[in-house]
Amino acid sequence: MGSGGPEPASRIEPLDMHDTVRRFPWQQPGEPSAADLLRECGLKLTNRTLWSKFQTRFHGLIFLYLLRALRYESIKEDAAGIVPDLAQEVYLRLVQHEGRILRSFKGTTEFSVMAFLAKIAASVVHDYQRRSATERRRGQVVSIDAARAAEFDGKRLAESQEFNPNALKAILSWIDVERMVEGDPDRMNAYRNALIFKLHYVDGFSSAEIADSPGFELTKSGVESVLARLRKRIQE
Amino acid sequence: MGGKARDHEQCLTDDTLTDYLEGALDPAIKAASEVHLIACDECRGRLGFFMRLLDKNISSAEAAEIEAITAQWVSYKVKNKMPRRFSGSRTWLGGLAAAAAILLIAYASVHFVLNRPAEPASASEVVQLLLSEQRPFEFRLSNEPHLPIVRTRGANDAGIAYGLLAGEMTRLSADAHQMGRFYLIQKDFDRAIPYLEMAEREVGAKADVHNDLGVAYLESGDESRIRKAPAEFQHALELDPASLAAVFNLAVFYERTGVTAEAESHWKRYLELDTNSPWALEGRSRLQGLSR
Repeated sequence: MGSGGPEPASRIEPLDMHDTVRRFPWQQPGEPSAADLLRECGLKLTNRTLWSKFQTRFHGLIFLYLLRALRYESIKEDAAGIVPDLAQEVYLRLVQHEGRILRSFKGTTEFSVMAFLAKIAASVVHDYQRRSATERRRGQVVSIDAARAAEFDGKRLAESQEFNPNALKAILSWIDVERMVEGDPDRMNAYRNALIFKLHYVDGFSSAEIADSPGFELTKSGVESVLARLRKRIQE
Repeated sequence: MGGKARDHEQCLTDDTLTDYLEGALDPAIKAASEVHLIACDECRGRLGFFMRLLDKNISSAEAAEIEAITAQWVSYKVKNKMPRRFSGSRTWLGGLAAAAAILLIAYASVHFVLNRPAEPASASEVVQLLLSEQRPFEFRLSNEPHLPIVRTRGANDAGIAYGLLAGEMTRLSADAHQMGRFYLIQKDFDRAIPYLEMAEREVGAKADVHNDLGVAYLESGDESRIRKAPAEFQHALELDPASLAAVFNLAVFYERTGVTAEAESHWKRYLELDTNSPWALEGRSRLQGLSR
């Protein structure tokens, strides 16, 4: 992971990750791949050795995704008090119906395993948020949209300094995405590039964050070059 | 999980969004997804959510929080191996002797489950062990060993074993039926019934599931649920005409509701199916009580 663009000062490199999280990407020699381990756990639900491996490799990630999803849902409660219970719920969903979810997993890459666990964590937190909201009758819960807007506004202010943030909406209003796509010399990836443009300028993602997802098939400098090219076209 | 769609048909599911981020989509679907993502703020917001969730960088604040969570998790697991004190239940503390007795029973049952020479190998074994320690209801759960009815524990003891053994049930991959039975034994009907109803909806749900759901309905104290109970026992009998628990429960149900003729008929039927077990002795005694 690089650190492209202005990043919050608190961000640190993966090598300083908490140990339980850091264990995930490192596959020990002779150990099954993350995807195979997941599927094998689904087939052997009572195999303690396999589940011990599962816990060693994925437990920290489950905590991390739950924590992030809680923050995204604007749940400000003490995470240490909630996350262990939610993690139990994640495990329960993994094993219920004789491990149907695990057995249905079709991914092959580590990213697919991460995405799989992230989706379950997100769904557990979403259900928790809904239950809490019902119980409290929305007393102290900030709406998701408001929180999202606030979070992303903050990102924009911090990271999108090429344009005056106050003028951002005005600028975006005259950007004709269709024209941007049509005029892109990289015909094969014109829509992807337009999406990257929006993710950066509208949603506040840094070029490094965008490059982090393998689906964009670009390095950080590749994303920066796409952004520079489209920016130039718009300014012409 | 994963199939969450937005408001209209064209919107992308969570699976498609994460597949997009992974680069696992078919080129045509990928292109169509990009066209949609450019135009749909909601889907792009969801894509952004997963990008943030899956971000490999961990902030120092997150690392500190994970450390605290891990510490909490470890202490939670340690607590799971020890009897938990009863908190927030002043009514319990009203009778010190009763609480002490309950604590002893709870400790004994959990100790029995967790510290017996061979740990239970499955969730159903945990449930069976709990059933071998106590008879929760006058009605009969499927595969329940016979114990005399002893009214020493009220409905308020619902949470005792849950906190101590729920983690163990999860670890042992309890299915919906076993989770339902587990909560039912604790008299936590709000948790038990959804699990049992889930088990009942599964293809191939057996007579045992219907029987246990019927018991849960009856014991929940909810009028609308109680009315559904006999149908569950009947359903169990349709699936397994020799279901001893279902016949037993119908007999008790009719006895309780004062339909004596039906109760007698079901006790007789029960005694034809089971002549010698302790359940049969109880049935015979109850039948004699009805005849007097």
